[in-house]
Amino acid sequence: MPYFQTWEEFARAAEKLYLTDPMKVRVVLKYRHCDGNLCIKVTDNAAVSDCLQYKTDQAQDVKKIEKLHGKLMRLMVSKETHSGSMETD
Amino acid sequence: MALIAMLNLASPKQYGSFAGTPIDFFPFRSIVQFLTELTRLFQKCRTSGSVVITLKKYDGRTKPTPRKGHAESFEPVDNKCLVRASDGKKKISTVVTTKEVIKFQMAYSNLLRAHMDGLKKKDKKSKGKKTKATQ
Repeated sequence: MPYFQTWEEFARAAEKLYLTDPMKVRVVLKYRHCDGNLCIKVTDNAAVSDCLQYKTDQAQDVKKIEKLHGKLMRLMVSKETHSGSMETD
Repeated sequence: MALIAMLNLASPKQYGSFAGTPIDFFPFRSIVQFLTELTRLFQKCRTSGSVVITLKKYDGRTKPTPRKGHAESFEPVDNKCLVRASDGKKKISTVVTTKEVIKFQMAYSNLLRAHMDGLKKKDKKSKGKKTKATQ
């Protein structure tokens, strides 16, 4: 289960994975204040290669992670089924 | 014997699960309750432990997935998601719908930013990020 090195790659892969099968994918956020790190994981439980992870100890990444989380949440509650192309706000 | 068979059918073993735990085990809180308790989880875990938040699309099912051969009399909905949080011991969860998502998201993102403040701040080059602008 590899950790992505850059946020951009992770975010792109995460959205792509979600859009392939929205019902299967879950997003897990793990925050450890005592260790000062945050880890986000997106997986569809299908195969080891489809578990995307990103770890950080940088405060600037909190906003990015929270934004992606929000974006995926909005996708989940929207009734339209997207098929590849994303709207960028 | 018939009673045991009935009990087996009624048991929540094949209820389907959310991240590994039966759905009916956790009563869903309202989004306000959830956010309040999530705040408490963050506060509790400041000195040790982790807060784990899980997000998943939810089709509204409240009954177990029927076994093969049985007809599924269930209409999935498309506008909900499950949010769950845990500190390892206490578990809370809520369902967010399209109508509530904006409200939930605003409060939720404020909560995350306020509490996930233990990470390293990048202040080597404080070019545009700091509020003190020397001009």
